[in-house]
Amino acid sequence: MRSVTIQCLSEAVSPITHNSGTVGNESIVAREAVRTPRGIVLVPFLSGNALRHKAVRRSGMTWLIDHYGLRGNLTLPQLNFLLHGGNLTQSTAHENTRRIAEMYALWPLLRLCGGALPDQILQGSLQTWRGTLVCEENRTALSSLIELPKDRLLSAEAWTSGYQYTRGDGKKTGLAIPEDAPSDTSNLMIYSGQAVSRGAIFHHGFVVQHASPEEVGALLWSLQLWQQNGGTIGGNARIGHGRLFTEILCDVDPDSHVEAYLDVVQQSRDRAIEWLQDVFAAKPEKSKKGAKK
Amino acid sequence: MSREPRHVRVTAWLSSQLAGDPPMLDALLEDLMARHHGQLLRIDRGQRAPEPGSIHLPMLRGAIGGVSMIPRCSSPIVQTSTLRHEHFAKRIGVENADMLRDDSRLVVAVGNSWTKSYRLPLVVRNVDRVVWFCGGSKRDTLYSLLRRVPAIGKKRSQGFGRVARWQVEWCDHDYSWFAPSAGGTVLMRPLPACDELPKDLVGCRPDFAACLSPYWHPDRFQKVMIPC
Repeated sequence: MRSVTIQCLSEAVSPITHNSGTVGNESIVAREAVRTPRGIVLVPFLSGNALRHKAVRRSGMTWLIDHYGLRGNLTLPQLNFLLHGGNLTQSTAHENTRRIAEMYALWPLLRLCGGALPDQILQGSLQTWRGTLVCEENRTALSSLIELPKDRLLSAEAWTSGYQYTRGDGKKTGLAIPEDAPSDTSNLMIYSGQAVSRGAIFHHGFVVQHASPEEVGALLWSLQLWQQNGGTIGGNARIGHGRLFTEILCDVDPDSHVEAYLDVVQQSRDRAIEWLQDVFAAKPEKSKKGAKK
Repeated sequence: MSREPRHVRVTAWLSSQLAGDPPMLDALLEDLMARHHGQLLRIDRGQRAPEPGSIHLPMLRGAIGGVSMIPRCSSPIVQTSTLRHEHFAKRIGVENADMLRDDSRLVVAVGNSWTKSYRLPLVVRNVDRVVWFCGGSKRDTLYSLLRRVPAIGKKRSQGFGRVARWQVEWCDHDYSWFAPSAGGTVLMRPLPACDELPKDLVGCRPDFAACLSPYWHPDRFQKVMIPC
């Protein structure tokens, strides 16, 4: 086993609205501070948390849930564990090594992402890099990692644009039926925000520590599924924002690793479901002291 | 020659923002060495702290103020930087409600209990490197261990504290515990508050904390002087 690094170059094919909040009534894109020769500059970025969830856990696990026929059969704690990492809820936390070993063998994607069972935290092996905008400010940080496309090395602000749309609430204003509305009034409300322009490129990556072929396969398969389903990140996907076209750069053979992962998924289906039901099974209630039999 | 123990300066060149505080190098190395020897132990607050020195470190250890086995390793040194904060968030994905079985399709509170949504702040800083000084270390051994560490600090799984490269260089002097300066002797790591400390000590303050790994364990807490 060795650590495997997978780098990605993701080109925005629609405006990216990965926001960090609002100023007034305008949404602001998430920015990180970058140290440059002319001081600290705030540059748009994609958070590792968002990339990890959208590109890996959500895409890979949704497919797995459907493939195992678990859709419509999960409890809320199971759903929370599989899609959101779970929560440690029991005070008597302990380490069940057999359970960890079984999970690693049966669920390579969970080994990759980690999570928390009600009584046990399971460490993941995946480290997700943040999406770094390919721009002049990030030239120093990125030049040691990849060959930078020179035509995209503009200043970060050159990649930042804005959007403006309108929306209206016909029911509240009684204007639900268009023909009833007076022609000279409008109930449309303007909303606007910042976006990273189409054509911007983000560099991001994944490090799988002490990686098994199945884990690397799970990661690559999840990335493929994410791309097949639009490769979205950030908000406003409903109106076409946030689409990324991702080129994957790695020194492993993707096909053989994905095949190894799909083999495990195929072979361990029943045992994997059994494991999931077992760890989330309701505990038998302890009989109270002094209770009459 | 390079395998002889000498004093070294370790630099982690970072390529992303650092979240939280950088680690003590001896704690990081103890974890690496324990993993290397297959003796990874999980210790919680309820258990006794392990015996000091039970895990071998590729550096000298010393004794002062009645405490032995203190690693010859400085605290992390980072350049002054404005502290900022970012947020990381989590919520139950209600868009996946169709995955729930019929008897689990309930109204859940998202303001409390384990289903609570959160958006937590994370203190981050912009530093391009973190430096430690070690006394009596083997450069090659240190480098071969540290190059396996891809990131330091908090929330490494989300891309914070990414190490672009590790640099381990020889250093002529041992600055692991103390370093000379025009104003006096600078304290470089937490050490027991005792009479054996230099009289002209500067850059420090008294505290009640640990001077041995694990630094969070209550058993380790005592009166110390820490760098500031």
